[in-house]
Amino acid sequence: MSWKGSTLISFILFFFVVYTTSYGEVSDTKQHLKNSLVFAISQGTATLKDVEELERMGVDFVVRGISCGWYANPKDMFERSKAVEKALEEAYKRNILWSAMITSSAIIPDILPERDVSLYADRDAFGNVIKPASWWQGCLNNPRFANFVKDIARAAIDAKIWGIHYDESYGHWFWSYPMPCFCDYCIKGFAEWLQKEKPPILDKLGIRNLKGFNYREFLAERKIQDRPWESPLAEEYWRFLLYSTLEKEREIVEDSKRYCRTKWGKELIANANQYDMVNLSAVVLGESSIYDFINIGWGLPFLPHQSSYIPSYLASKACGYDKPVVMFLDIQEEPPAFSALPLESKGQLFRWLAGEAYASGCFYALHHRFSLWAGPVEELSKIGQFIKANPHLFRDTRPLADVYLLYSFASNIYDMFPKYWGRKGAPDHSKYYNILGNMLLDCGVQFAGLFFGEGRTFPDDVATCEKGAFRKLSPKDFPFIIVPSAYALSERNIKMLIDYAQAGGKLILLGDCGSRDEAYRERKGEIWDKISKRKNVIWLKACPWEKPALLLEMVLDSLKKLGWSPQIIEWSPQPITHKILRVGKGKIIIHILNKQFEEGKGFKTVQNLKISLKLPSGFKSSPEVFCYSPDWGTSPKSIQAIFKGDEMFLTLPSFDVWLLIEVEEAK
Amino acid sequence: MRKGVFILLLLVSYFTLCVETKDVDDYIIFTTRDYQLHLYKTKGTFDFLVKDKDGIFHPIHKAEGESPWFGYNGPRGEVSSSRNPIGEIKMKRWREGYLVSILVPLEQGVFWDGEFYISDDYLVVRSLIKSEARSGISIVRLAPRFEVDIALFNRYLFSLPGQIVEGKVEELGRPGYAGVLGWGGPKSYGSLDPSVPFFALYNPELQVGFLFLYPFYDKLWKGKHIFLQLWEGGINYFYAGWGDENDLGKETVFVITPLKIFSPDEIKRNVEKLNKEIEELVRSGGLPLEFITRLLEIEGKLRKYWEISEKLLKEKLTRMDDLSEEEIKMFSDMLFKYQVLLLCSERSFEEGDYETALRYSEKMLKLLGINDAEKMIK
Repeated sequence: MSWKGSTLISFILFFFVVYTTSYGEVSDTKQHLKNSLVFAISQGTATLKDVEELERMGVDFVVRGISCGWYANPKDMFERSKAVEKALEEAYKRNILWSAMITSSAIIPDILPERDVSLYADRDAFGNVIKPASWWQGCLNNPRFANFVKDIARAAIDAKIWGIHYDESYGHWFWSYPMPCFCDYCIKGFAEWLQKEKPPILDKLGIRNLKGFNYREFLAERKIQDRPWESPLAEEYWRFLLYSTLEKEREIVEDSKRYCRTKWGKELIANANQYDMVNLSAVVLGESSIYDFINIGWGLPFLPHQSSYIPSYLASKACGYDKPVVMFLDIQEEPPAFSALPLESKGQLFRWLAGEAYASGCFYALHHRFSLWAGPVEELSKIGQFIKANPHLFRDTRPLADVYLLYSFASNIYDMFPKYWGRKGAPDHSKYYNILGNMLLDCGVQFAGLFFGEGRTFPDDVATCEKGAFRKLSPKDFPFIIVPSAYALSERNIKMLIDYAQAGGKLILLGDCGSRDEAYRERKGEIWDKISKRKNVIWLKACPWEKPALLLEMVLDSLKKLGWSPQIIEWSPQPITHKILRVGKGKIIIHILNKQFEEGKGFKTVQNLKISLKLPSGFKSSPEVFCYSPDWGTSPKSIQAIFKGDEMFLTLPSFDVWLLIEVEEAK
Repeated sequence: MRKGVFILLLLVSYFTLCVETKDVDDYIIFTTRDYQLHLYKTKGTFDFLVKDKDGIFHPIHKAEGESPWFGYNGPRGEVSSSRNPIGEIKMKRWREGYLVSILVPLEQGVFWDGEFYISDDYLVVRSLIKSEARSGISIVRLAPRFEVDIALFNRYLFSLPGQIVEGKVEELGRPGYAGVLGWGGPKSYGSLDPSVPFFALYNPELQVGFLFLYPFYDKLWKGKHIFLQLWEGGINYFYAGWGDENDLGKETVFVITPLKIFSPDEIKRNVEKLNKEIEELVRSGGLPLEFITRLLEIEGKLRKYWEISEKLLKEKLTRMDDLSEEEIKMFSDMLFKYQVLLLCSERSFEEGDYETALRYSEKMLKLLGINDAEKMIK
């Protein structure tokens, strides 16, 4: 190579390095995500003032919004992203990674090159284009639409966006009123799926030749295009849609990541608009296997005195054990529960939202802004600054749980299908998990999620937040396991539970467990015969899910019979808080969350609350204990513990919403 | 003297009742000061008509659309009182007007059992779907569903804890929802304000409108779905109140009343007053809804049990510091059991399972050494 040539290359390299590094401080995006402690949502504007506010709030990562791809084609996306370049650059400089947002599902004619939605959109079983709202929904199985989404993401990356939020790529058919797609691409894909999967139902239906098999015609012959759930192939179609959607989503995300890596030498951080996974469909749970973090968009369905989000967080955290789990409020206008409150109480409600997430080992995205709703920056800063000032309370901690509540993905796949697709009264494992989780939480039972995959989207059988993915359940690590009507379980799932029980693990089976496999095929014979008579196994076959009080009594009786006793007790006639124990190196962190919330007013202060904690064996606590709360600032208050045997008694300082107690091991 | 005045007052109130009745072919017309009610003799439905500023009556349901009906969704579709002939209809005087009882067979072994308490200012409806537990049932319509003429009733108004929500119906979009626990947005929330539990539809220009009021909201209507739906194909339904299969066999009550004022704040104030008035009427026995008085009686008893047990437990808790290690262990065991029983009692009460709630609270008291709870509160 000539001198001139090598100098030219050096120059180019030098400028490339200067150009990329001078653009900001966020250099290793993956590491940045790993280190992030404070998240936010900020969508609507992106000015330097916004960056300053985000910095004041201590934000490391914005889950979505610097540029918004709602009704955008690739050109629009590029222009919108370039328009916020100054804010983006400033955010990077201040160590804030601010994701863009692409809707990637909603389409209108104006944004399409052909101005014709019928070339892209979902179709019903009659073959007609579905218009679910004021927009249409593209089908990911249609390569034209998949490529369109890829191009929008690439356009954002061209404008130096290193984080993308894919807003509901899975399309409309998995929403609360599912409208599955039956477009030509789905029909062709389904024939191929059947060819590959060869479900036994094909023999029963006498379908031997799948060449030219057209599912729309199959439905038409039976005159059930308006009720496709009555089809004998309905479950198989549901599975095809689920797995093909996830496959396409993965393809789109990988394309964007490759493009970003090649273009900027950066790892694109991708997230989706998932949802409370104990309430919605398998596709959002499946997305956890694709994106860089689990991002739950939630609509504030209940308030602190009504219910808790913790059971759902614990399921998500078990599933996404190696990824951050974040929740943001996917609400464009200030919801009445907030607008009815005075400013200080709004801050309290935000602290509760944060407390629920962090107590579960997850994160809450501070609501800086979404469309018509801007959060109170000063109040949100109290939370962000508190977390930033006390990272030791949050990093490297795991649940101090003795009970594990099983959450089955195989069952989750079919939960929504019967619930919304015309089959009422069918079992709902996800709902049952949530009901029981909330009841256990109310009683102070320390439980964590135990996630069971189905062997396909989640190839490892089982996962927990502390152990990651593994294949053997040992009674030592899992003292008590409760299976809340997980009606669909894989063969390996069942074997693991049987092995666990045979090794002495204490197992409570509730209702129908494993009567179907992961493909919703009925299992013959009594699967729990081998273990059901063991003293360490209790199978409550008739489970009163519609009467949670009776259910709780039965479950607690069973736990007691198996030798369980509470780890933490509130010494008052009626518990007014939720108590969650976490453990770190040489310390126990107790999160206490006040439940005494009054709509339109706020929280009632907790005063002189006394609790007792049974210390884990071998843990000698120091008598000086530190209490922290964002209610009063960033510094701790010290209190003295009283010991009676292996129990530790604490009288807590007053607090409004969220108190954290750090119990350190005596040196 | 006092007795004489009382009798006189009774006579005056009896003769000053403004409710007029007229029997026509298919229905009976009840005309009051502010509204008209047509109760059908052949099918389980009714027309509720409200006056506009010119004194013209308009039905609250769309004239050519679906009229109010009770029932549920079964495995083979909607099971509706309006598509079934009436089994039995009885009419008698009530202290505020008339009481009409109607029984409509819906399916084999299932009946809609309704009572219409017709008074000058409002209509009170007691509603019950009598049935054994059935599978495959959903959307149990305790209060009716009907189509709404949104060109006529073009504004909605309802309460939320601490505030009211109002707007133009057409701005909801399609599909669009306004109310409590709708199937989507943009105005779907979790609960009405229990002290002002209402949903109104009205037209301020024509000065015509109506509202549904839900007395004893916390006990009867919490968690139920009450919303306006702008559906596909230009259909607009008002779901006045539905629940799930657990609501089969549960009695409930709601009120329909015409609107005479059209300022949201004034409507709210009036509703608050009316709600109190109706709840008081039930408590005093003036509106003879036995299922509510029984419920209030159990609630009173339960609250007493909870109060007594809390007091007893608090006394024990103050003596805790003097206890030995062994005693502390026993006490914490008892405390945990107590807390679980209290939680179960409260949850059962919230679910409307009052007998179970009582059973749990009696167990709580037993745990504290009180074997005869009934005697204790006497």
